[in-house]
Amino acid sequence: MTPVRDPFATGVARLAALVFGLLALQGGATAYWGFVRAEGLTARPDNPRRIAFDQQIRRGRLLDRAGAELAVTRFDADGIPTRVYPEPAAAPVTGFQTWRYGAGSVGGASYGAGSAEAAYDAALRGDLGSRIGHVLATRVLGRPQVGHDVVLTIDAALQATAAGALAGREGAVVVLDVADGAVRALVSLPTFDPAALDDGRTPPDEASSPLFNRATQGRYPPGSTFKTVTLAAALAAGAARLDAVVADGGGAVETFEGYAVRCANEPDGAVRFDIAHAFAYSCNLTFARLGRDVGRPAFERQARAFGIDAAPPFPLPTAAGQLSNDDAMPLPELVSAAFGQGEVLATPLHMALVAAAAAGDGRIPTPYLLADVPGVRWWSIGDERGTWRRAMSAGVAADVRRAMITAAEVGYVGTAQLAGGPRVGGKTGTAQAADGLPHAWFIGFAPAEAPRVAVAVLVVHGGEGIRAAAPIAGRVLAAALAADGASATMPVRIRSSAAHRISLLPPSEGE
Amino acid sequence: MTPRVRGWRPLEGALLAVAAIVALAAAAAPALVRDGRVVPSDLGAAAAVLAAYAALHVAMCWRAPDADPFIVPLLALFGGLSLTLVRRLAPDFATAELRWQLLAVGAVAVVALGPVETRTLQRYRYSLASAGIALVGVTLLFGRSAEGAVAGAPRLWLGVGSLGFQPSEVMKLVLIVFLAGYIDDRRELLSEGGPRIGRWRLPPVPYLAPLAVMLGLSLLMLVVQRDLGAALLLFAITLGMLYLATLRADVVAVALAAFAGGAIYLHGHAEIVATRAAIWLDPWSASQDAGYQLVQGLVAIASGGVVGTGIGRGQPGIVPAVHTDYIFAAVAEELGVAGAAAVLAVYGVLAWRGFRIALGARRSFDALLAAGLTIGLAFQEAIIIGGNLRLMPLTGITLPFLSYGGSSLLICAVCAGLLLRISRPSSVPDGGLA
Repeated sequence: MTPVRDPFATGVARLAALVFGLLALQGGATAYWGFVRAEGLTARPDNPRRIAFDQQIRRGRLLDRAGAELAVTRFDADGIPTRVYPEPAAAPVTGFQTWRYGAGSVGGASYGAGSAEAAYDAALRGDLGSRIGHVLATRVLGRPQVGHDVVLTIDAALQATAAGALAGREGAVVVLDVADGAVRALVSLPTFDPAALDDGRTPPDEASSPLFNRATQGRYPPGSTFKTVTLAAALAAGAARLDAVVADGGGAVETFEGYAVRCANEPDGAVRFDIAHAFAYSCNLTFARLGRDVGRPAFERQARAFGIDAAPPFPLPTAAGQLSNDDAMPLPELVSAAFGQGEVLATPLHMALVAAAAAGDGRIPTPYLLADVPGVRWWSIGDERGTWRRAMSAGVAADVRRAMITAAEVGYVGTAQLAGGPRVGGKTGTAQAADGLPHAWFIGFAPAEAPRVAVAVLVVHGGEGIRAAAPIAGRVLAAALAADGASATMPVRIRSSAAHRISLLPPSEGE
Repeated sequence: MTPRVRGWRPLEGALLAVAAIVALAAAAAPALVRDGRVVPSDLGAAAAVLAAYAALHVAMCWRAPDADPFIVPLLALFGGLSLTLVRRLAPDFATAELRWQLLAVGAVAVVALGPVETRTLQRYRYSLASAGIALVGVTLLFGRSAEGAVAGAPRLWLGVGSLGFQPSEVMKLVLIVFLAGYIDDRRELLSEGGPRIGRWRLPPVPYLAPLAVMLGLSLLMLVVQRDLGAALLLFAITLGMLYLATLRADVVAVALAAFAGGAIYLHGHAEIVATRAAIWLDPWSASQDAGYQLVQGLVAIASGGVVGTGIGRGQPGIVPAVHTDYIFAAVAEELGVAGAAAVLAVYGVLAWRGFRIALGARRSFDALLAAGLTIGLAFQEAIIIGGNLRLMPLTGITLPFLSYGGSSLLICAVCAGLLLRISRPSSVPDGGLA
């Protein structure tokens, strides 16, 4: 052999380098498509593997706080899964699963936008929170993927009670735990049958928007329930005390830049009364004056502190409310906003949070839906609980609470007070609506002495709050407290994260 | 070195055993997925092919104990894997695939151990070249589309009745044999300079002539037959072998530029070239029509992950032509990126052995032939897998040894047989290259 490399060997070496280089390039490209771009490619709607894979997943159940099934997957003889919803009243929370509608999904199953099915999809599918060894074993052995059950804060019985109390009228009910914002019931009517969407039947009467969640996304004028916000602003600004006496009854009228306001609601003969009773009688004139006295900046600040301007953080989509359509807020608009008309809009969830803040120590808890994912470590599912905002000081909250209790005792809220039921506090609302009867509102809490449950009820075009909304709230509050008695503690697994730890005990009075 | 007459080939035997275990496991997997159990008939086809390779191994011990020990196990591995994939993805072709696989083993045996010396090929290089060109010409005139192909599909097939074959496959082998002989005849001339243009010295005319002919022939095939893959492969083989003879990188660059210029010209004049280029650059916007195959192929590759779904558990059948042009996507889906990398590594081993055989050949014709066969297989693999992976425009050619396709498999088997034959120390050495 000659020590000098002959030209042929050089040529072979170079061609070999080219061939091995090309092979390396192919390996790199395989890894690129197989790893880097894999997620986007496999998620393509025209990838039939996804639906085939999804159909063999043992999807986890959605359970209520006591373990009742809200959604469960059953397989037929051919192994085709069907999602069954044993509690139709829970549809606004659970949402639906369908193999039919591709919109908003990436092949495979799709879920009603804004639903627990969508919000907890990763846990329900089992993509999340499983140990890596288990995931690998499942894949290698070809076992069907098994999802996790998800326990919600919803109380299925209370949800049914609330839906039944609305008796088919368009509206919404939100029930919260005062202490930590757990959502016990969230009703929106008209609703839909989640199981009916997959077998070809369209939701009944599309015009009634059954898929629209009025509780979290419906923006309505809050009417007199908004006087709670105005009262808090006035108390905080020192513009009013509960026992300060005003002489707004007896047909008194005041004109605000040409906009005449009268009390309108006081009982016959009541001329002079204190602020607490003005709240109880829902006297528009008193609250128009309070709005003017507080002034626009402080009023706006208070509304923002209650989160009216923002969409509350929540697993289901929420809408922001508003004080005004635009930046301009002349005096007539300000004073009418102060009694909940004008251009003010809020969702039932907003108003339930207002009630919860008044019932508690002035903080607005973050509303939450996820109680537990059994078998999964908490850090991999996240904790939804927390404090969203501080709406008012504990002292102001105590005064507002007292005014709401007064309203229940002597004012027009009495219809929420069931005979033999818990003592309640609250505020009605009858919000003028452009296109028909007024919207009937009620926000409140029970029991009055140590509130544990807050509620907001809306009956769209229901007429007077006192007749249409308050009785519903009374039934719902009584049912909620009765359920509390049956199981004093909620089966929330307390996760020992100091940052998120919130007492499940009601705050003490005057804290 | 005196060739041994007979002897054990322990490395080949051991590698063959490994290949057999892998191939039988692969054959068992789909049955396991489908029925939950494996019965002997599920493994029958794979066992038959493996038995044929075992017989070849014994014959090699008897007749060619010094031949390369890697080739036969690689063929057995590819053969078993191909059989399993094709039987499941294209069950209609299962019987034909088994027949072709067994014929391929026979072809390897005949070429590697039979009476025909490579010297005979060398002697008939011009006759072979003429026959090859005639074959292409006949195909241009009378060719037909593959059975079941849509109207207007490339007409690449010649045949009588139900028997058909693709002349471009034969042409590939003929070209390599011819160029090896042609270059070997002109070794001295090729190292001299050619005519000058200004300061640039052209390569010698004997270099330019076949290059020009092949360039023209490739472009003609492209236009008339619309067989992009074969045209590209034949041109690349020509270029590679002439580079081996001259080591002139500048000429390679100019030739590639000429080919690219031709392709760009055709881009404006041949619909198929324009379509292929367009879906290469942007398959996504045409993902439901022209780009469907490319996109679905990439989705299949993406579906595999690290170790794949396992053979029998993926759905590569969604990809059109998965058993021929897109078998690599099926490998990537069911065996994952790891399995695909392993397949690429096996092609790497094949190329390594091929180049080693070329360097160790006793005769210069054999050395050139071995190098040409090796780059032929490697380029073919790179063109189709590169197309699958969107590294280059997709052209429909087969993946050597893995795709379903009778002519392709037989020609590849002949290539492997020739490599084996050249790796044997000849009993009558007559002048090495080095």
